[in-house]
Amino acid sequence: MGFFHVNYFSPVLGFGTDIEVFVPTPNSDEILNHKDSGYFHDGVRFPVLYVLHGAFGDCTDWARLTGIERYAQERKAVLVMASADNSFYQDMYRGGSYFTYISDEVPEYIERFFPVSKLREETFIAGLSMGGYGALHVALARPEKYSAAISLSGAVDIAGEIRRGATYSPFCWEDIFRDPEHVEGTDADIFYQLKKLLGQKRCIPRLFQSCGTEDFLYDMNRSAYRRICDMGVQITFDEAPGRHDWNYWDAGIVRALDWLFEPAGSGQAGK
Amino acid sequence: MAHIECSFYSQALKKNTKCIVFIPTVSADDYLNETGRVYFDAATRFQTLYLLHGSYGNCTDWPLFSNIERYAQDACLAVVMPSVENSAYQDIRGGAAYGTFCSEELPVFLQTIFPLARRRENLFVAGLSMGGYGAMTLSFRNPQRFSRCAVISGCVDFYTLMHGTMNYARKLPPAYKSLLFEGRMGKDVFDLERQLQDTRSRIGELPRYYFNSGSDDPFRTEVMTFAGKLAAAGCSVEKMTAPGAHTWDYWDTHITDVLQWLPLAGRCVVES
Repeated sequence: MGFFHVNYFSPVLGFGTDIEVFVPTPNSDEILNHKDSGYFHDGVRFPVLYVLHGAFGDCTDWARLTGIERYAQERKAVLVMASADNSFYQDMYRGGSYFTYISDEVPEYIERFFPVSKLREETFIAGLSMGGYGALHVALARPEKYSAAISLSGAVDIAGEIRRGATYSPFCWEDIFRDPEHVEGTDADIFYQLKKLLGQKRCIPRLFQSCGTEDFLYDMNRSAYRRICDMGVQITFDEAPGRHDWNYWDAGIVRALDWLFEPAGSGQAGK
Repeated sequence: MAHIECSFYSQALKKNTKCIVFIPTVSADDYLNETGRVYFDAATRFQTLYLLHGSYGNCTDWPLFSNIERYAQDACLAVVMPSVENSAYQDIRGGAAYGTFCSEELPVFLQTIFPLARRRENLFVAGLSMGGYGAMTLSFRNPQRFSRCAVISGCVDFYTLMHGTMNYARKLPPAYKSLLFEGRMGKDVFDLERQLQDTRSRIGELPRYYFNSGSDDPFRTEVMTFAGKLAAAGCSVEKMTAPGAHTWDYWDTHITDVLQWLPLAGRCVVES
């Protein structure tokens, strides 16, 4: 279980930043329990899952607060965790270009410096809360790059999230968007992104959407799910009792990984 | 300029370990001055220096106490810095096999993860003090791994040194000293002269050597004498002494001499 903390200069952001990368490597569990370590060999290229943090967070959250490394070791996948501030994964109107950073620069560096697959069918993206939206947004903006996107407790309806105007919000919408009141129907709006892809008859990644039934974003997720289904887009909806917290995400990412790595077409039915 | 802290399980050590890997990438200087340097050609790999710490240190010493990452960025050189406790880069019998780890497991592991050079002509080893000793012992243990070996302020007779009266010897915790010298390992394990003798039939396979010690370094006479024996045995040896002592000032200054001596391409290399 190899864990790599990368500190480097980001040309897109214009400052030094961090990326955390997990690579499945031979470990003590394999020795003690007589498991095969033959997957780790010269020239190997692992499936890769980019994992996005939520608001208030950074690249260290997922590894610190969930068992995701262990789950990825079991499935022999690389994890990539980068930091995107409270940008909502946008190229900010005033601030960092985090959309370009996450969608273009990070994969370019990872594919050069780590043993990851470049195949679409082995490239995935997931995230929680702000990052749940981010995973859908990036995958729909780069549908030829990612074959699947996973949103856990995502703020998937960004226009609705801006309207909601939550008091806890760390988002300075006036800095994120030039015109935060008119985000609906722009490329930041995943419903618009889907509509465009449908219109252009382009491929759409497999989608997995999960939310806890006691989450303050539950109603938003249910209604987004209905909207996406009504567009005729395939999406798997998953829910369980739970709130907007790491207990939900630690369990939810396991269900999402089970969905991700099971053969296409055998996915559990949405509700 | 990517500074990568690696944490992973080592089979040779039978435990988790850390190392620092530096890989040149677009730097703030490249960005500001549009140097146009190329780091992303997937057909290329990075020449790599294994850079070894001294006693009482670990993998963070070189990046924290010297400017090695800046020098390596300029040379387009990757640098691997492992942690070996005070083991003198030896296999501790029945325990952590630091020699096997540094000369065999770690290079193969890191070449699988990162785009690091695989060919001997692009792989180098250097170290300071105990790390200089380590660079030599690794070169004798596995002459096929590295094509160049640089010894900065190195020591030679680790066993005798560690039984002497210098603080360098006295301050090593007694139980660790016992692990090295009184358990299952004898004096001969640490004896570079014996290791050289054992390699005598394969002298031509050894890397080229470079020795650099300060004029006030307590180990200088001994290590330069050993350098002479290496040369007499038929090895390619270069020696240099500059004003200075057994200090980070010296090592930060003179690691640049080592980089000058290495056959660096100044860019990523193609290995067919």
